[in-house]
Amino acid sequence: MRRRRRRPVDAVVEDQPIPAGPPEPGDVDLLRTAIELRSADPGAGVPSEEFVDALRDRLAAELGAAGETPGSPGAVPGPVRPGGAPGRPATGSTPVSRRAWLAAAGAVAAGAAGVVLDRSVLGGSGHGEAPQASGPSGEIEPVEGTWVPVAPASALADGGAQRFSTSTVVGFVSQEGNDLRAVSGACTHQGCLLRLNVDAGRLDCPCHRTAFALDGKTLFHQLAAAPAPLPRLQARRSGTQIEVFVPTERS
Amino acid sequence: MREGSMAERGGELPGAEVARARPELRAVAPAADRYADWREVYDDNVVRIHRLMYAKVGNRPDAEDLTAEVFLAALGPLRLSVSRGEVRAYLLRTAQTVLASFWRRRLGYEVTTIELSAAPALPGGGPGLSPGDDGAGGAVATRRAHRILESLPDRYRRVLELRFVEGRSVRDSAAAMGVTVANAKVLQHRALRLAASLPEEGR
Repeated sequence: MRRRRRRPVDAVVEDQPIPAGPPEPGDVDLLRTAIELRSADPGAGVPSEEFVDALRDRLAAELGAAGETPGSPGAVPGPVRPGGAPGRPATGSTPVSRRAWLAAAGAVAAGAAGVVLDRSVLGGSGHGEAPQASGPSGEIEPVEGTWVPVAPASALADGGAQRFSTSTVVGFVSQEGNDLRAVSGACTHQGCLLRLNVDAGRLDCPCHRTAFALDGKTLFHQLAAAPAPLPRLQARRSGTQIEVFVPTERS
Repeated sequence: MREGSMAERGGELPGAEVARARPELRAVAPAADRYADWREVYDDNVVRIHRLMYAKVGNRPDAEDLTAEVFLAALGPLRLSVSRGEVRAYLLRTAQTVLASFWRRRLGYEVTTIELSAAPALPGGGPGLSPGDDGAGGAVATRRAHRILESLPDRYRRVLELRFVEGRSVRDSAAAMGVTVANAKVLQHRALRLAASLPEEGR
């Protein structure tokens, strides 16, 4: 007789993980019933202290520092369309196999180098507020770049700003005093293209109520975590033109 | 173009005045209603989330993995400036997605779901669970399980009680019922089939 893959219902009855693979006809109802019946024992769902402690250690290692919750740019729930229903949790959340994270927690407990994700700690206030991004999130330095004219210098007189669009980046150039700057025009949350809000002197995201200053600083948002500041691009004046250093398009 | 530089606004970032005028932007809850840090969020919610996941997948190993997934996903982007109710609501939404993703990966079929109701069942607002669900300790699920058992014929109920309520092995259950192991397995299977065919009651 052909040996069948273990049925999901049998795994549940034995308090084992549910095996992978499409269920046979009728298996789903049985499985659902078995899952329901597991709740007959009210104590069964209480986690063990070992598990609770191990997960706490793992989270401490992942989050990097006691008491700090680093703002995680881009890892925010929410659909791209504005005003949508509650969305998915953080991207990049891969399934954690029991062995993997218990091993990691064990490594932490044994004093080995913890697993610390490369999250930029954005200078938290330490008063329970998720830290706000404090400065520019870096400069775009393409491996191959070209200086391209994007606006006449006259467009930036009197504190003006101008949107530019090349085949590789979109962004905004502006000037404050002697400070000429160019920033990316893509919202650091989910990539929607920002709109120049002339009256308010800022860049607004059409997808969510996020806004950036013309130098890239995040001004306000309505998300669970502050999106990172806009990346800057190098800008210069060349004759009567403002030029920006953009990635070279590959043909 | 702009009405004035930052200095002319008194050194205030343009965002501050907007956030004041529009309280939905990054509203900050009163200190007493906030979690102080992620550890407090974790300690206050880990049992609740684990019990919820256990009620949805019926086995401890998967419940533990899913609980870990929820916190690993949710604690990073978590904002501590919102009320406790909103944090719990966020954890629930995360749990809902984590569970759905689990079923897709494992069976390709959504066997159980976490239903969020529109009604704010939590202090401070935010979606609660629908009436059929209860993340607060599983009392509803326990009652439902016992109702299923009570509607079964004696021998079927007995074998499922031995296996599910008392958590006994097949061998022990067979001995307790005075039947062979093979008989006990058949009884268990038939009992589950019958229980599965009962009219659904808010499942």
